[in-house]
Amino acid sequence: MKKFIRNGVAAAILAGSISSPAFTQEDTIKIGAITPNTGGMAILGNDLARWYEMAAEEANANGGVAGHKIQIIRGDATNAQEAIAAVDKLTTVDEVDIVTGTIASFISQAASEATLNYNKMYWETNALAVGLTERGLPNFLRTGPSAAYYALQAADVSTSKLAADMGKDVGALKVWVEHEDSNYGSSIAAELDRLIKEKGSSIQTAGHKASSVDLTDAILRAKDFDPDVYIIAGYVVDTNLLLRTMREQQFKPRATILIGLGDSKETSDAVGQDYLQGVLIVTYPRHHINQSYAPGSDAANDAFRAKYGEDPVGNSGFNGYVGMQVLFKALEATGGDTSPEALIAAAKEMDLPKGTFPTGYGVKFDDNMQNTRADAVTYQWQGDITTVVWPPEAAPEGVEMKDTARP
Amino acid sequence: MEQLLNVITLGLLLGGIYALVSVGLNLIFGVIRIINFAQGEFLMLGMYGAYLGYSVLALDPYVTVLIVVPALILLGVVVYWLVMRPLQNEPMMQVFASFGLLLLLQNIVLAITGGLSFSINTPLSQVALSLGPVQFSVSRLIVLVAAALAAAALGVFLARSTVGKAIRAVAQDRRAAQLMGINVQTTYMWTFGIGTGLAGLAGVLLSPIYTLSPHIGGNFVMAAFAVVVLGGLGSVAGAFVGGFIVGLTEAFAGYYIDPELKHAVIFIVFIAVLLVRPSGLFGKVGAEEVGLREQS
Amino acid sequence: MRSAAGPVPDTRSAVDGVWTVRKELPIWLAVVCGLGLLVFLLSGQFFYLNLLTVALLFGGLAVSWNIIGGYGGQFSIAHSVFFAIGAYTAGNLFKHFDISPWISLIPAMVLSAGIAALVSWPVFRLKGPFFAIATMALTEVAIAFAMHFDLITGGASGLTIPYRAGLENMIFQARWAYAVLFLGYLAAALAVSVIVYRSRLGFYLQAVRDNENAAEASGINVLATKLKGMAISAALTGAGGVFYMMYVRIVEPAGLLSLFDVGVKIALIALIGGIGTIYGPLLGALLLIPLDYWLRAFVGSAVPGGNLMVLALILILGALFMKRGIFGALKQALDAVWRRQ
Repeated sequence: MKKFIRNGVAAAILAGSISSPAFTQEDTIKIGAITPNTGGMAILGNDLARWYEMAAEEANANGGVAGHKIQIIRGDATNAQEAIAAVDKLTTVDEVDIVTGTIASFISQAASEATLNYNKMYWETNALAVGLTERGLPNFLRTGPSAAYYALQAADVSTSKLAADMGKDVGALKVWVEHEDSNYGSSIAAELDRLIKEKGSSIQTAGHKASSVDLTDAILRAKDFDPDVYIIAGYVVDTNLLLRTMREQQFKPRATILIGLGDSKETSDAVGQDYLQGVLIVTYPRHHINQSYAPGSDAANDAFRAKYGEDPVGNSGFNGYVGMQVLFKALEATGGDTSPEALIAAAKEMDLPKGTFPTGYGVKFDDNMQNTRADAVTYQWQGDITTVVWPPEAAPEGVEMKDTARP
Repeated sequence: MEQLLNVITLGLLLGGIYALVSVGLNLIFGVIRIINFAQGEFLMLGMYGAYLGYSVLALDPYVTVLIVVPALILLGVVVYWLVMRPLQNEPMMQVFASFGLLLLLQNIVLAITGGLSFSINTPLSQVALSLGPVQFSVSRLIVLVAAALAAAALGVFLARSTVGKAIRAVAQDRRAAQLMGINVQTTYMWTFGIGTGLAGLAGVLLSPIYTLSPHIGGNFVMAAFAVVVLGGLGSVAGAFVGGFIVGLTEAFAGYYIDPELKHAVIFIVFIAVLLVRPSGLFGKVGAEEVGLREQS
Repeated sequence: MRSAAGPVPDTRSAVDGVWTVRKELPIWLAVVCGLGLLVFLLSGQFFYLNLLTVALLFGGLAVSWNIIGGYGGQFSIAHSVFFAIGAYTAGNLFKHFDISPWISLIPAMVLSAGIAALVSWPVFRLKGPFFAIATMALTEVAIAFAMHFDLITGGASGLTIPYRAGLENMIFQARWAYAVLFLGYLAAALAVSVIVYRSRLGFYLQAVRDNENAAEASGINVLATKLKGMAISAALTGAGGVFYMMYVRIVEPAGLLSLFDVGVKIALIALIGGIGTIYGPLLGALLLIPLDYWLRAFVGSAVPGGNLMVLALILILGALFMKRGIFGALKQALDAVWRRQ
């Protein structure tokens, strides 16, 4: 507690009358990153922060952004009140100019409102909940896909590709969505339910607790329904348990889709690569992807490995890396002005076609400031890797979707 | 009919898991009357111990029992002596300290692993058996058998051995036991140690079934508390049968009602049983009366 | 025989030097004013102001818990349920019916107290650790229901309320306003706590805690005493939930009903501060919450979970060296100094 003296400036900031150009007093733009470093999300938070830091280092090596050096400062939060505390700490102690993140949507929700109190930009790259961009917050946008885009991709691959491969009419297709019952899984399931029904297929959604000791009941119920496409939207631990139970119970849907994860060692160690052959994964684009669809993605992943000596944990961090690049482009446009008004105005002006960034994203924000050119893709386990198989233009040269049925 | 058989099998196997997890907790909660929040973390350590043996020494997880269980007994003894014993007259503070332990152990493992989750995938853990329409994995059957063996062994140990008799005496009446020349502190220490070792055993045997994460202990411990209280404090048979009641309830509620509501159903049943029989199904009537007061 | 107005001679008040509510008042005032001064001094230091704000909230919750948990000795770890009832009541009334949270305080408190009495009635048959475990089960049931009945709770995604700043909406742009709000909550909780402590109910509760059989033998209606204590405690906790809702504006079941982050935490704060004393729980919150947040902000990034490891060590050592809580340790130290003089 350095100063106890009541600070008159504080009130002025609260009133929103001072905007940030004043920061040119120094050459560094500080970006606070709300990334959990404790609890169950620590591993994802750490991965995301590493990608942010790599993006910043690359920008600095290229002479900075609009003449400024970029510095990333991490802030830890695992729930709403910690998010508020983290924003307070980052904005007042570290004096960051922009706040970014986040792994979980409820953290983003609380953190972005707290950031508004300081009249600073909350540059969301990762959190998935659809509702985040529908609040009309004047300091908020999202560069990555929302849960709706995950659902969109899963619904698209099911109805456009899988149904045809199975020789089924879309109207006769049966889909089961097994989701963990927190915000993440539930919001994807709700979106899928809407989209699949729209297409005329039949769909059943079911929730489970990610901390469940047993999920055999969930598998038995799904087995009774006998779906063609079985979709799991869960976390690592419960997804693994579901896959193991599927094998035990000899539940063999024609196609299995995992949402957001399932391409890492964490899953292949649990059930073995043999069992995973043909399993589909809907997630952020990262590697084993057509380089004309996602230019530079291989190079960026190689750089990550060279820098940290290990593979990224999953794909979400890479999505954050691109979000950071979009931010840098916006900052170039504002000439280094970090105020929400300037950044939002610059973002609205952006019109970059798909394929601009290493994830294959383009940039065009809708009225809610959701990027409409950020699509998820579908991977498939083939041999000892996962490779993009859908949409066709994203699949690497010569790669096609193989048989999706369980052994 | 087919599904009914499946659900019953599932309930029994799940009951085996709960029974195994509860045996150790029953000792600690039933005899020393500590609400040990860290019990799940001891189980988690057992799992990681098995993983360490599996990944570094290439041991089959079932072999690591020989290393992990003694190690955890030792840990339990040390924890009792350093943390719980000084607080024996402050049962609330023991709860507090056990919460501190929970936080400490979880985060040590988180710091070491970085939060990456691990799985043990041996050829045996992939084997599934079929009995007519019913399928189940060998690893779960092993847990069921082990739960029965552990409960039986513990029952014999408590009935026959000197330490076992001392444990029972202390559980019944601490002061009288002390007057009879039983060293209450040593007895408590061994009780805590054995209870911790049993948690380790459960961890090792469950490791081929689950994906390991630093927070996994909490998934089991909540149900285990329900099992112990439901079955009856200090009753080995109670913990065993209680495990199956909870397992079957969960299986039936999950399949026939809704997987999302199964936890609610378990705990509603739990509260209901407790209201009818506060001492648990197999507990001595009045055992629940000897609450925290007896110690203070 | 049970009778509500048992003829227990209030011997303590007959002894001279016994504290009454009136004698307690100056201390209460001094504590509240002291905290008010702290809020004023920190009002430009947003990070530290926020630490204080959260500490005041949890202080209020721990003081509320202490009425049944400390005075009455009923170790509930289900207070998160009443906290959640308050939050959901205020959130829904504000969101759907545009009712000011100031007004919602009344239904929130009534509902919390009512549900608390209803569920506690059977559970109070259980004693000691059994009671604690049963309340843990209540939390589990509440989480499952909150996840399921999404019309009221918003399900897993949580209940959010729009940001409409204004005194009538209890939503403020100025950060110090929340500190003042929670200070007011704490002051009210403390006042109730003082009144209960020095009232017949308070003495009954302590008698029940110290020896239930003896209390019953001397004519105290044990169940009625416990229920009254629980209802008051739950009502105050529910009020805390209302303030919390307006502070974070998003609540989701996993966080709001978290056994460890809310239910156990409230009890632990009271414990480490000094269970059964008037100001102990407040002291616990003022030390534990800032410590937790400070470690998270400044220690956390070195290794994952590093801050919680340090916190855990401090908790264990705290338990070992301050067996009667901080308040007890302070009192002991003061007594020692007294005696020497």
